[in-house]
Amino acid sequence: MAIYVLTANPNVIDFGHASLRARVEAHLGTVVDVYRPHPFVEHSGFSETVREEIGLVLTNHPADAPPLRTFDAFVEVWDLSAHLDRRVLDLSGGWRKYLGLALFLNRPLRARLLLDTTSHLSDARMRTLLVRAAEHGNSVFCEYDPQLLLRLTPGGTESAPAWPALTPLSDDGAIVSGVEAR
Amino acid sequence: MAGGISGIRAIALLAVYAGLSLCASRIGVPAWVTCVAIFGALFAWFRVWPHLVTLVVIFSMYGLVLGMPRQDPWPEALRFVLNDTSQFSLRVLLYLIVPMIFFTSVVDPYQLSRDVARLRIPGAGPVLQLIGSIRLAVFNRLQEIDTHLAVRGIDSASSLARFRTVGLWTVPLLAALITEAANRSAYCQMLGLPFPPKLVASRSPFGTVDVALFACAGGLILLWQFTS
Repeated sequence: MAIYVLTANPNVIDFGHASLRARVEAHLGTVVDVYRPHPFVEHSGFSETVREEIGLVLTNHPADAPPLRTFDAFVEVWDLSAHLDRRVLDLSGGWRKYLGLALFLNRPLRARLLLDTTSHLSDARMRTLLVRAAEHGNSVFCEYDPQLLLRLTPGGTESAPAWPALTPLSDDGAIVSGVEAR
Repeated sequence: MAGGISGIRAIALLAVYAGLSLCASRIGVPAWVTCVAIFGALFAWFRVWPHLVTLVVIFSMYGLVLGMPRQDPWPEALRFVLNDTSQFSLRVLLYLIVPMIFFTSVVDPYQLSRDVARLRIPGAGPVLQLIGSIRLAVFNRLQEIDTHLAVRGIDSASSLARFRTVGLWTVPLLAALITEAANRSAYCQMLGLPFPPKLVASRSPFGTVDVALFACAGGLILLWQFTS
């Protein structure tokens, strides 16, 4: 369960994510599922409230890939209980993105490539994201500003536990390779 | 009732309208008069003024046609069109469009799609959900565009400013809606959902108001039957 922070040409996030995925797969030696923000889409559109959105996604998981957490556990560990009865459209952009990320990270995937995940998220939400990302499979974060993640101070408390050391990676457009941590 | 009325309440209102229309026809009130009066009252009760504007625009087109130079005086032409019994007359348009616009504006699209999902018609619930949620998506995006314009010192939200700034908000609104529609399926797949997904169906609320409305509709239809 490792977390990598990949430094790449920022244009790759928008225009070259398919080839980046192939390079990350080659580096990790496994199939990678990609999270990336889709313009103007921040929820499924088939639900009204946060409660319904979570219920919809969890009940539609394929039988051979059940969600990592069921409804109650999911809501608790992702700190979503205060927002359950709010309309998804009434959430701020950051919370909508966080909800989508939480649902993506609840999928039982061996490895994930997360593109531009930290923009619009507060430090507290980023901490939760890193802690949960470390629980299952490998996660590769590729950000416009990777230093934001690399310099984030771990919580280290019971309510905000620490996450494993972040492993820096570099992409030169041809190959993804490890870099020495400074 | 933040999201609008349920499908059950819509059917109850439609039944009351049908009952009133039948009874009114017994005492010689034309059906188009009942339609205009009842839906006028409903539009006022639910305060859905923007949709009333849509109706005004649609029926003004008839006005434009009637306003063309013609042999008959204008009031006679209007009477002729309203009493026209051909298959697709103005009256048919009135009976179809007025209730449709009203119910589109007041029915909660989410609850309606849940109701439809319970009927187990394949794909009907999700499709209806998407169509219905367009209304919310439009208002949501429009609000965001208004905010973007407001921070640049442009007022686009007030009634007159909405028309004056039409060139500023229509293009981003259309672009956002088209992009959103194009990306919806990819987003659902990213979360591991089939497209369209299976909806979580919950029972529509059925309150005393609905019971009263259905009882009223039943009474009106009985009255119509026994006065024939």
